[in-house]
Amino acid sequence: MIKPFISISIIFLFASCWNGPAVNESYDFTTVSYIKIIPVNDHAYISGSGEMVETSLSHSFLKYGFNVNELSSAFPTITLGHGGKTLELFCIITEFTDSEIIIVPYRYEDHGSTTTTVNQSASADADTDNAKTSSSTTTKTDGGAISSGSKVNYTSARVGIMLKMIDADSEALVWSNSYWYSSLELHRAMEICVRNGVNQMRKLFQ
Amino acid sequence: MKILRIFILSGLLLAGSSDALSKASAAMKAGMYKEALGHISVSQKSDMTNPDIYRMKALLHEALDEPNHALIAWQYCLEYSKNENLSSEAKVHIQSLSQE
Repeated sequence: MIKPFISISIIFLFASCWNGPAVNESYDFTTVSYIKIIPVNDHAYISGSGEMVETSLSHSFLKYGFNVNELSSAFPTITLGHGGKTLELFCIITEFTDSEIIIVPYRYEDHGSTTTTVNQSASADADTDNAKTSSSTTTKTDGGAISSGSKVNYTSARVGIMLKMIDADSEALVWSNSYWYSSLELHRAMEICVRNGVNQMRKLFQ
Repeated sequence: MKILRIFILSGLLLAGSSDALSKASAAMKAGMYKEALGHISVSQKSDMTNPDIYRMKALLHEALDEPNHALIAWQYCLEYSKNENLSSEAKVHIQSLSQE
């Protein structure tokens, strides 16, 4: 009963701190007919990253139910309504890290160990009626350590992008925001990062 | 004379918890995410408030397409984290997973 309450409280606590987009309040997004996706430049260190992000943008728009046109002679275009205005969507890759090494320090409790040794001997002489038996027990206890520390490592990927939309006629910047995401796999980090951006953009046109 | 030796070893929990995270790390590197999660659960028994382990766990759940489990792990990560970058990462993931 308490766990869901804590979870909901945490979500609401930081939701207010979430970096929102910068929006031109005077711009009427209902008059936009097209969003043109401008070719994305590669990140400085990874060639092909621009094309990957660009494809991911088209994919995300399509996934959210937008009409996407990819003509070979033109930029990918999202068709929205009949207002006549066109927005140009620019994307800058701010981070594209394939494998970042993450160090995980941790502690563990050494509970020690207990070793018990039992010695038993038996002897019976021919000229006596009684057999002799003897036994001894030795117990060694290693108390262990109260706590010990160590560390392990693994790799994770991280992708960051900056999105901005400019009105094609007036060249006014009407919307912009930045996003980043981490994952164990690069493609997942990129896909979710782009999806989060598109998810926020689509609210402008609803 | 007959000698019988019996060795009883108990309390080998040391091997259980310290090796578990190493095994989890190795499994992650090999792409065996399900196995890695199993080892992390063992290692958490002796380090329940380590935010870095919750981060590992959350990333594994995300890679396995288990968003609800990932969300819980990120919430614990945020709760125990004293590192600004890690807290920020947890917030980004919680925000994203909450939208799904």
